[in-house]
Amino acid sequence: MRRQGMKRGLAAILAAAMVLGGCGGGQSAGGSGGGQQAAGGGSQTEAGGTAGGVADSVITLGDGVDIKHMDPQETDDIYSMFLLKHLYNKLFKLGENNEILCDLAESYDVEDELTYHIVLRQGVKFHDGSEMKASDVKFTLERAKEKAGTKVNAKYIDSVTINGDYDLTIKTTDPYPSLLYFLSGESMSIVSEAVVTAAEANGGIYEEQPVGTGPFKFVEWMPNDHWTIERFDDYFGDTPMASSITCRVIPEASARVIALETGEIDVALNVGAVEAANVEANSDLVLETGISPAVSYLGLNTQKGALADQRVRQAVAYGVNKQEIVDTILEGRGEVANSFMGKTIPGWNESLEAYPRDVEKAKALLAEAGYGDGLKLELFINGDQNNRSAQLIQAQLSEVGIDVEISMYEWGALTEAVKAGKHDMFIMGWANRSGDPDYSMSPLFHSSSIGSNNSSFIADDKLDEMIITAKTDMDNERRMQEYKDIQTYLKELSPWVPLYYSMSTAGRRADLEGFEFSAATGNYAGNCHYNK
Amino acid sequence: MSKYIVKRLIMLIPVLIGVTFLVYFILSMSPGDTATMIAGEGAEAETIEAIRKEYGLDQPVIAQYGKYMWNLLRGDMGRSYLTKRDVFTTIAGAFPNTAKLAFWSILVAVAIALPIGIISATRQYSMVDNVGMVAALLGVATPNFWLGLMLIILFSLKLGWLPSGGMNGWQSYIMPAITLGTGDAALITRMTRSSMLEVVRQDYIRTARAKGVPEKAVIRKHALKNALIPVVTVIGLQFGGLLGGATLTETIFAWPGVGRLLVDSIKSKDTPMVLGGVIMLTITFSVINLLVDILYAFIDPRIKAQYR
Repeated sequence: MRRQGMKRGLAAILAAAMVLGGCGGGQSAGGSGGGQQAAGGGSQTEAGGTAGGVADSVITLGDGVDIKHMDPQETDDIYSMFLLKHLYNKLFKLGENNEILCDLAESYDVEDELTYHIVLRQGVKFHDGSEMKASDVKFTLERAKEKAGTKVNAKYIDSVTINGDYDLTIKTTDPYPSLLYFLSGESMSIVSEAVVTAAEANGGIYEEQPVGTGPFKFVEWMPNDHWTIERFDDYFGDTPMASSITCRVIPEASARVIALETGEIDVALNVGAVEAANVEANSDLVLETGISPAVSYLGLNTQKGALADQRVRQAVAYGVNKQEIVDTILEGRGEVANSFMGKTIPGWNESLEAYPRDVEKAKALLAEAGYGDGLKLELFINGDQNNRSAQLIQAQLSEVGIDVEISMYEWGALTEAVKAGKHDMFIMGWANRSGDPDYSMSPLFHSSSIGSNNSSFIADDKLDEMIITAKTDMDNERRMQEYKDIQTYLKELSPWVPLYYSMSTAGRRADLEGFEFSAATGNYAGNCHYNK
Repeated sequence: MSKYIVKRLIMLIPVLIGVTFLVYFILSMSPGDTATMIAGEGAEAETIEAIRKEYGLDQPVIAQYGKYMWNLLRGDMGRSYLTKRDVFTTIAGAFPNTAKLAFWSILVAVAIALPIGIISATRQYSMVDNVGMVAALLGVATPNFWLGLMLIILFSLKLGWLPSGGMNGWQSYIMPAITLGTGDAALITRMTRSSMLEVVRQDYIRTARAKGVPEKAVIRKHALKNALIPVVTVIGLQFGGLLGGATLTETIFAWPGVGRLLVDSIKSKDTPMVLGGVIMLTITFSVINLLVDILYAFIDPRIKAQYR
């Protein structure tokens, strides 16, 4: 590894890099389900993949929704990302606690607040047999700057310089501590320059025959039916236990669990609350659960009518009984959200407490704001689950003296109405899969995001400043504290009433081993197998 | 006859233009911004604008439609907004799955409906008639999704005889075909019965009987052939409907057909995919109708004489 001398005055930044970095250690830890086999790590490497009496395993999964893309830079949905995780690698990946681990990068150091020096693993093969080099990484990063889904973050990449086949330097336009998290996302999976260029020549589309460096190579995709991948023998990492994986699309949740019960599939992904109980009741099956990185919330329009008054917003927060929503709507499969970001995200403020249900306090706040005689608010929603939450909230707020009128929308119509600010209140969720706290703040609460995702229309100078400071702070420890402070301040402003953190679930056959369930960073099925 | 067929096929062109025009404008007027839908939940304004430009959604609707039709004329149905896959390839991939299921479903329906309908009519108010009609009523009233789930629970979960879903081998056709077929059978049974009842009261049936023609021959040769016209019409309509995809049944049995494809596309405002589906539906329906009309000629020589 080429070492750059430590520059004077950058000691703090480098110290931060040490915290950020630490590519050493093992690979990602296993799933959170307990009792599962850890991925990677020394012992399994010695076991040597499929050797040692483990038969070749053909694994079948079932999920509710089909994939949309196999081109990483086009992908933004979790179903496609699940497949990408098996086909590709990124420069970095997230550990179970959102720590940055090396993937295709062998090591990195942060030379100054704008410069990242990355050394790549050698001998990594693409599925077509060619070797992955720095030029492929540069090609991928530059491609990301062009693509609609990735350019928002990739625009911070100023330049990528190749120093050798396995050595490159990334310069950012501004201090951008989220960079490594961004590069850990599935949408930043490294593609082959030669393959993509050839496929896209003459206006073609790359993703019909994806070629990655991952543990599995693509076999086929029959839309709305299934996709199949098979083990890539030249994979640079540990040989996966499964020889072939097929994921069937079974949209009806109960049919998916029945297929699991009959043994037609080995794993049923995204099991609903009702079906989860069926899985738990069956001794042949095991239910995996974990808190997802998403937060569901009741958004309040801070620039419209009575809700422009902070006291009214706080009254709503006191009026909503979040525990009741978790107990009834989620059937207990979730937790009350205490804060404005998912609890799996670094920088989540664990000491923050949600507003407790307090009818008297709510009434007093309303009276203080001049709405002692009651108040009428419109609540915009979409979908069955949010509809049921809305009805509960309607009943809860009526006790406070707020009359809620529920308006149900199609998804597209809801986003349009909410962006236009026609609402008083709305229910939505925000899933931060980047692992970086900024993705839970800038898009939702910075005033420049009004008109896109800041649908509570919160525009607060102090808040804006806090968000920007945290976003560009290269001192990781200080940065995390800044995010905690933002959440405390947000609680006071109350642009939202955070409702709940829901569970991610999956059911599997009890004798299936090696399924790595992770609500935070996505599941991995590559090591699924049965012991005879 | 061939002149008639050509004439009917040419008539398809204005129908297609009308249908695509209507669908295009209804989609563009329905609430929800297409670019936002493509960008997905949580996309930033910049992303949405980029997509709007990329897909030409910043153009006036009429210009977008014109461009679509121009490409269509050159045989290009475009690419899905959502998956970027070629629309024609995607629909051509799903349609055979739907067609195969539709074929077996209508076969199930006819195999159940014709015998019961005929027996019900010839033995009106008998036990068979009463049981048949109650069954038909139940068949019409039973929701597909309920019947489908019940079949899965019984034959897959409890008995383990059949796969619970997917399209894998002949076994996987049985439950979806029964689910779809029984609903259609009910309607066809009632149509057969009432049509037969009307015919068996005609003078020529009495004459045939008076001549001493055996009862079986009276029913088969004289009555059924004359009663078939409305029955064939209904079967054709049902078959056309099945070819358009049966969304609920496809969802329950994880069947990769056009019904699910279309509904998903409409929900996500995937205009090229919706239009592709609508064009396929229009052509299918028109062709089925034409086939039914041609079939009339074989059933009834008087109609054949009118086809010019």
